[in-house]
Amino acid sequence: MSNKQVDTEAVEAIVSTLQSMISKGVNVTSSDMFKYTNAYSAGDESKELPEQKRKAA
Amino acid sequence: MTKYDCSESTPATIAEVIGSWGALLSDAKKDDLEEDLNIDGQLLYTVRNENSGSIEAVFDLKNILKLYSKNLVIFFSPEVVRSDDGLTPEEVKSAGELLVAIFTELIVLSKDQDLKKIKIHSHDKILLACFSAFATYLATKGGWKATAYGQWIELVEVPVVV
Repeated sequence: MSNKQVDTEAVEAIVSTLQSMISKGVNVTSSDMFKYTNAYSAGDESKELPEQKRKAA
Repeated sequence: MTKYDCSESTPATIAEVIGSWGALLSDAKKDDLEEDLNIDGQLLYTVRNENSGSIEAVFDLKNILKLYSKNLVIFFSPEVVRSDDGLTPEEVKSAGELLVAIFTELIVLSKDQDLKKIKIHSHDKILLACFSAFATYLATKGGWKATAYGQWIELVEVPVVV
């Protein structure tokens, strides 16, 4: 187990990479990393239901 | 800057993920989540935001053939990205911080096992691009040599010249 504050410069390197991909039109949320963040736009249910769940949670 | 706690998962933390993330997901996606967190041979870790107390990411580090070769899979919590129309600058920063916490943990885990090398495999091009940026950053700082080929990125610890 480790517990530490993240390295700011390393974060900047990754943020810069993500921003560069976004600016080139890459849909970064297509990554599996975001599989459960954009779930409510996946079309398997209405958008309202998960949003209601979010507000209720 | 947020502080994160990375820990090997337990049945209790996995249940916490399924409960808290699942409350924000459609039933179908909740089923997918339960399936993704119950695959044979997984070595799951949770990443908890120490400020909010919530688990913001789960990652799987399954060994491939050698101890230093790992298949990396990461899932972010539904709380990390709230918009369904791309990422806001704040969400990009949160994702960046979580990724650095996870990648740093990979280094810590390999050092705990006395490994001088770590090879990360992923089918996810976005994840590989982010890990590549991290590996390049480490190599630039010194002490590591980074090599990328195909769906692999290799980090080898090298002596620092003083």
